[in-house]
Amino acid sequence: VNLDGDELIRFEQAAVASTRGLNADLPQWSQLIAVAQMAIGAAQDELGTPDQSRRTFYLDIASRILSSAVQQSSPVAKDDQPRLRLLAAAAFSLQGNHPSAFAILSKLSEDDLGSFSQFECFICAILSPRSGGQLRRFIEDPSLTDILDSYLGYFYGGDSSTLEYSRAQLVAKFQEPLSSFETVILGVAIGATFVAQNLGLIATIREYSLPISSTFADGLVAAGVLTLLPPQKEALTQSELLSSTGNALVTMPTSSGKTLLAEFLIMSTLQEEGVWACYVTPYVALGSQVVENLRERDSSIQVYPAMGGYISDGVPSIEGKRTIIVATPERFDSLIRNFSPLLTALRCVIFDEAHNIQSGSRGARLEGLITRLRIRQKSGFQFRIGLISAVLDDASEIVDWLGGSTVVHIHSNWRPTTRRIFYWRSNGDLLWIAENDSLRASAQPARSVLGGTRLPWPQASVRATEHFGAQRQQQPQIAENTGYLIRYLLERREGSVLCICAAKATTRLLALTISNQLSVKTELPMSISRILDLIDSRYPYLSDLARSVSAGVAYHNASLPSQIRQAIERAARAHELDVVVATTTLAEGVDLPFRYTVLHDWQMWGAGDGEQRPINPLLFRNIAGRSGRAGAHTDGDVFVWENPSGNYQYARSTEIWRSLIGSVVPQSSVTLASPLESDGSTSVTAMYASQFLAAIPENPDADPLEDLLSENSYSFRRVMARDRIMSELRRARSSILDERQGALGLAASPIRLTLLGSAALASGLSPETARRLASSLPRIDLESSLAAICASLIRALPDVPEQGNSGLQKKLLKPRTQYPIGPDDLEEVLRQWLAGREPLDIFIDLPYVNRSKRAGITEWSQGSAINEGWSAVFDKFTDFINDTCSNFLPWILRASESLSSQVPELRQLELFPWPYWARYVEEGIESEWGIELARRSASLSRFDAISFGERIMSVLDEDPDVWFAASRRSRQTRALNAFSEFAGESAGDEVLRILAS
Amino acid sequence: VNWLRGIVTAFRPPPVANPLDSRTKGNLGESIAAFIGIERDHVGHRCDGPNFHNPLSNISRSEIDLFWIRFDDGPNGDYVWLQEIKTSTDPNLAVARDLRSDFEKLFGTDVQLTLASRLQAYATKLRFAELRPDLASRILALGAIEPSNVSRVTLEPTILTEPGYSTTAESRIVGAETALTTLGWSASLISSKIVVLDNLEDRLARIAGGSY
Repeated sequence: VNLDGDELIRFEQAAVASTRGLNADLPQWSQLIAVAQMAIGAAQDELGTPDQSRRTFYLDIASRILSSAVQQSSPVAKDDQPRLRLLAAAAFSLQGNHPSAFAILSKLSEDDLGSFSQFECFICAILSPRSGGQLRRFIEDPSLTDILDSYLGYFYGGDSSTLEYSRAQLVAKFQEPLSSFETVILGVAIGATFVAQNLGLIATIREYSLPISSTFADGLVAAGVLTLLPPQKEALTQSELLSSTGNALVTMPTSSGKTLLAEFLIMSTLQEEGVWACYVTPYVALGSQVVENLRERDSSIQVYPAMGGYISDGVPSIEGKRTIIVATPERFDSLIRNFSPLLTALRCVIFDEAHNIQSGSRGARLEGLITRLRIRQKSGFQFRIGLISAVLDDASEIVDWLGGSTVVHIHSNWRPTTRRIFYWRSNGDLLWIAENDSLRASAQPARSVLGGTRLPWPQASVRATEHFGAQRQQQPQIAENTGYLIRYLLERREGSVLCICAAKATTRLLALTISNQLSVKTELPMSISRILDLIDSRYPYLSDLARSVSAGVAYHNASLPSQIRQAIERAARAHELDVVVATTTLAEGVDLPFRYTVLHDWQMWGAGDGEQRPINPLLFRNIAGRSGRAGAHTDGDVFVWENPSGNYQYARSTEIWRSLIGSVVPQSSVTLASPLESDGSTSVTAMYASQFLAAIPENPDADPLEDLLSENSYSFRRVMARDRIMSELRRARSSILDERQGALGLAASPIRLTLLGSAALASGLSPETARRLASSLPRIDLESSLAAICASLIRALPDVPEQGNSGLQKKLLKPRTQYPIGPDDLEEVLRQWLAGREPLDIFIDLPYVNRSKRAGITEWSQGSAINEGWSAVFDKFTDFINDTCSNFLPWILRASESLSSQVPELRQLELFPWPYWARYVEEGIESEWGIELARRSASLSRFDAISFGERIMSVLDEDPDVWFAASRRSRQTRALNAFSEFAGESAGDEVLRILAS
Repeated sequence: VNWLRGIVTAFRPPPVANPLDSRTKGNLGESIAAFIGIERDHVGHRCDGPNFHNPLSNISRSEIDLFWIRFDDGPNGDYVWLQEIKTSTDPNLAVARDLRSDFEKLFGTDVQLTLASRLQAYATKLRFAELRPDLASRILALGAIEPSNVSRVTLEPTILTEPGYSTTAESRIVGAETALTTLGWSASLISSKIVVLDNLEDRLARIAGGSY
């Protein structure tokens, strides 16, 4: 190419700027396309050279220019775009970026494909093997289908002779009369066959004798994983990821294939029967996806989901099987505390989203878990630990923690989709920031502005203020600014927008603000109709959601019923929602195909001190990773703006740029903090104490144990946390040995657990909470109703750190505090909850609601009026249900079982059915059927689940011929399996009808 | 005709329709221009084009008609000529007005017609069919991103017509040259041609039948 690298980069940047309406003085598109074509030619020239960096560079330039040329907002003639897509796919395919080749080809319409020659369709199929099956119907020429079948056969069978045959046939095509363009793409396709051959999954497994079963490999292929991504190939063949016995750290961007590497790592360790591995994932939605994937891969492996809070109900038998348990950190902690013999059969533990170590008490649990596992490794246990994260760059301290030179660290910056950052200033400048893009000219630092345009704020008068009231007053204007930005993006018609907020109320406000300025869709897609039906039939109070979703805008937060949340996720996945406004939970969880991410709130509430601070750079990176999903898009654009709400210290005009850009484009590499650096709350302290307790029997000879734990902790490697971790652990030791309210351990050098200590350990509670529970239990009337027992337990432990609902805590300690549920309401609320009553109905009958001077409860609850005041109060109620009822209470009930079974003074309480109570409370239903259905993620309301269970049992009992031979349990299982198949996609009512008939 | 007999596998059986359809006339005009190039203007150069070697085919590709390449002893002497031929027996030679737009597409957004595609297509053949990656690199080096950057690619707008229309042909050619310089092409990289053959309509029909 007769252009130097910087010139090429400037052309690429011009193409990007052009399709985003930035900059005025741009080259013509004819020039840009000439550059892209020359770059592809140059890349072809580099094929086979030892250093492939230049080739990669040229292909990056070409693919980015060409994918810009086919954006909806591109000025390039529409007739010319289909072949530019083909050429873009070629550039992606030559990089081994098959997800982007697939994404860009999948946007070819039937008409586009109809305008292609058969030969061009054929080349598309070669460039994207995953598209091969679909494109085959456009190809009738038997000489082409013969080549295609041989080519695709390679990916299914791994036989390189079929690929070499197809390549030879491709070369022979030069003898036929082809147009110049056909000749070009034929050449590129031949090049692409070499790349694909190198990345073929089955062939790689065979060639390198990877320790992966053929069943598992076939399962991957059946799921559409035909080729590896380049960093995956490198990790599997050029590193010791699968052959080492050391720990592993995988730090690769979102969508670059970390999870598959983790699956390989697990499978490589499960080489015999009777062993198990654990995949620890922070979110249930992610965990469910992992379970589904693993089950699809290899049915001979037992995959057991262990989701939710701290539960010690049991584990599956691993004897004679290879088992993978997919667990939340809480469940995994419970497993290794209560079933410690299992550890000898453990072969591998994967910690997904490992950067969560820095997050409050959950982070402290993760750190504690890994620290305990590291100590066990050093004492001879033969399992590997794998940490994976999309957002870490400087991981030297983690590597040191995991074992230094023995650690296999897989790091790559390769990503299939290009991420770009845009910054909207208060003066109306919309700026494109270079960030850490791999294609930056030599004089472009990370914070340099690559392009810009004028986009004045519609509400330019909003400004930072120290006064909370003033902040609240201008929220509608602030929402208008975000809404304006989102509408600006929607006008480009590139794809959907994910907007991130710090609070549930803001998600509602924004969704309404945006939808009010969009027209209601005339033809509602099926998924939207489903949401509306659900609201109409079961959740009429969500009239604000009904209104916004009709215009293609939804909000998504933890207060929404899970049925609605899942329906919104389905609609987003089907590309039938234009905008989803969500709290960070969605941003860190499920991977949905958003094209844009807009960060509405850039200040987040600190867990420890309740202060607002600029978003943590790692969290920002994770959120940014939600835009531009691989296989759906080739680009993902992230927008931040100088929203003046939040802590004045950061938001005032003289500081806002520095504060915000510091999070978005940090000047130095970001290291992972210890939980102790960012959060000094009692819940973190309690978690370290709980982890200390768990470590006592695991290290019977360690003295002093705090030294051992400290040296093996991550915090010890952090200058800012080293002293803190030592003092936390010393404090934990003192707390455990404290005899005033009953010692949990005896200072026998080393520490020995008392019976109370053993019970506390099994419970997962912190020492202090375990003590308080033990002392409270005798005072609780356990002969009363379950609701009364639960209410008493909550009242007895108003301020323990495990009860994370701070609003309830305040109310219990200071009854005059404004909170919808008072101490005297607890029993009645719980009684109704356990009876399966809908939360809204319970809420409406609350004394607080009846006493309230706030108007409009009837209209709000019936859906005839939107009332943010009542929505906000209802948020607090749902927090109570989600945090206290579904999480804290079951934990405490199970802990009561541990205590009563081990502590002599509490033995008389052992006979009470604690685990059953825990299950009832957990699911909010006094019905085994309902509980089972809820555990299987059935899309029924709790009340319907009870009804369903009753009806299905009556149907089954009436048909003895069919069910005679089966035990009641087996029948239930069969019926539930049948139900689960339906429940994934069908409405609960439909399932009821089908099964009842 | 003798030359054509060597490359065309089957001529049309007589009687050949007269007048010929414009596609065949155009293709035959390309063959004639190719012959002239081989014999006179591009002796020793490589010739590539979609239609000239198969003028009686029903297919007529819309790319620039002829692509001449000279590989010199060293890369700096390599050169390419792009020849677009308009064959017309219409006194107005209206079709010659398209010369500008045909060449304009060399730097357009339709990748079927760009100079880059043309160069890369030939490079691809050299690389995979002739196993000459060295020459493939050299031909790619002749590319540019706009007409004003081109240094070793010459345009040859060509009109094939009756002797009686040569004045009109000259006027059309001058118009095309002016238009091409307006697009950014250097005048020194434009080398126009007018080919005249008397009784062109009949000649083309005879040639299509394989006779003099």
